[in-house]
Amino acid sequence: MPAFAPAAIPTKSQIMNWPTSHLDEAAAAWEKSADQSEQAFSKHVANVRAPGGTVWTGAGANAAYDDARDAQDTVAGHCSVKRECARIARRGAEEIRGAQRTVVSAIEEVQDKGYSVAEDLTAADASTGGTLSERVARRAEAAQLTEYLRWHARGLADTDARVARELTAEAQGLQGRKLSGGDGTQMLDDHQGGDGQDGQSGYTPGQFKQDGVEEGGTPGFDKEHNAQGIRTDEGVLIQGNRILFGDGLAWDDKTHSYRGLDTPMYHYHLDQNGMPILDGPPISGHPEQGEFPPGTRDIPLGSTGPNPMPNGQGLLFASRWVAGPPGSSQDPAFSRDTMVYDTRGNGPFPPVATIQGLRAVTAVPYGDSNRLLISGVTGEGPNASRVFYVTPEQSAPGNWDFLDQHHWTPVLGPNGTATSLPVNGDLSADLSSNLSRFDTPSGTQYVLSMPNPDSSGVDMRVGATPEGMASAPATSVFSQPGTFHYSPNVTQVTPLPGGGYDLSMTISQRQIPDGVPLPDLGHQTYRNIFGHVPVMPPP
Amino acid sequence: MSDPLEVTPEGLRAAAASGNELAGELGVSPIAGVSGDGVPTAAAVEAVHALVASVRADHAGYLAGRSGSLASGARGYEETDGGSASKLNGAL
Repeated sequence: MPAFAPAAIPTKSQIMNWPTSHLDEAAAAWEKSADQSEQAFSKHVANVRAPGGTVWTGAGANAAYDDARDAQDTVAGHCSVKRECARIARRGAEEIRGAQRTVVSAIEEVQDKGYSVAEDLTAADASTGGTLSERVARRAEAAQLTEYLRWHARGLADTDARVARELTAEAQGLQGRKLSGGDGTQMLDDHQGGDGQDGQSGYTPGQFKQDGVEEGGTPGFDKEHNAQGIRTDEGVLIQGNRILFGDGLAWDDKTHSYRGLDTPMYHYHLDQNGMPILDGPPISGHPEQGEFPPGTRDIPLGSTGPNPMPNGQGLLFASRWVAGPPGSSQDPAFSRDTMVYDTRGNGPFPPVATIQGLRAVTAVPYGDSNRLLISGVTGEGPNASRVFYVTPEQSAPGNWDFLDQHHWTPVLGPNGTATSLPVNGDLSADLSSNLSRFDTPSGTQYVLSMPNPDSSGVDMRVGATPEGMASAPATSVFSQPGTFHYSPNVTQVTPLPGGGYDLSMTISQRQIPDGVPLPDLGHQTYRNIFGHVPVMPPP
Repeated sequence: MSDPLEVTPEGLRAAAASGNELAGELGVSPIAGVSGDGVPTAAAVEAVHALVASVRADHAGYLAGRSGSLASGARGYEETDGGSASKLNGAL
């Protein structure tokens, strides 16, 4: 099943012609299919109870009747899922039409103000005349209106993408329990993800195919895509088509030097290769709420990904970081704990929990419920390792009990002990990693992308369960000895012909492992590598 | 001693024929092509369609298989009364 990354901003034509009839048509078809299957199995049970109207008793009759009723129960479960999919499709179509009406109204509103709206939603002053200051004011208003239109357009695209996610999540219920192929014995199969018993999926990562490198970091390979000319790293994607960076620097034409941007957050969209392109100036220079002494900030190192849990809850994971003394070229240690921020709002985001003893935390929604598969690094030196847990379900957005580590379930390996993977033990090393997922016809696949133990490259593991993923053999998808790698991020997953999947990725790379004085940061340390990893299906 | 069967070969054949008919009905998909190409929900609908079709095929296969067992039982019943009971019990 396809996975859906944040959508690009739709054009004006796409907005005007946004389709929804396929959802209404699908809802009717799924309900009809549910009705037909239920009626067929109801008749089947009646046939077995009294074949041709005759009386059939005895052990054989009882076995046949029990078999038919079991099958009917399984079919009822399938029909329930089909009807729920139909309900999601109908409600989703209404929501998408509502979002479409909103953005169309916004376009009309802007046009009524005397501005033209281009295909890419750029608002331009359509009037002539007026004083210079009036024209300047209208140009400024046009820029604001452009942002306003794109914000609403993103809302439309997000609504469609959310409905798509809800549908595919619900439809997972059609997998698993199957009736036999009609060979005279019923087989109930809890098979998940084509993984056998160990959760290892058989999906195999290939080698990273590099599309490009942005010197100085930051997605966007040229001025057109990175008009702000910023240099930074990490690039953590969060819900709402937003991306956060670590140490942001922007070139200042007046002073001919780089100035700090703290931890800037931007709206982004994905280009045709799945690369995040920044949409405009920072929407926040300090996305986290709280008191930060000078030289201190929470560096965003992970999140729950670009798609929140089904209930709309997304989280940002950040590490408290204190800059070294002036002139220092040595990175200070990262905090051993992780701050958790609620990313549902516009930001600055409120802190909601502290995860004790885990750093470089990343997570991804687990299954179809409001639970997380979460991972972080514990220990240091030779004892440093990445560990994995599954959280309880979040009872409601805004309730943080599920982040209580005492209630987390460790992900166990084949020998029954908690799985741990060796990592770089240097406390100053940025070990930010990424959990992601994609859905296939045979179930969800979980993906771990993390720096290898000496940070000279990136390893990837794929599995149909958390256990399978964590214990899967590592595939070195990217390696460049002598350089330091961190913050691999999967930005998009697209199906490939033949049953494979293409993972678009960004990787942060530094030429030297330790920090350098601020004035030198923008010149030499950061590179953002962008490319793709194909993940091939089991043979 | 065999189970007390009062069922007849005709009854079993009628049940088998009915089951085959039900399997045939489920074999015809109520799902047409997907419009709305290019938006995420279109891809999602297509993916759900594929799962629904797979489940329907599974249902149809089950019904066809059980129909075959009932028809086989009817043939065995006609061959020998005692044999029919064990064959039918073994088949289902």
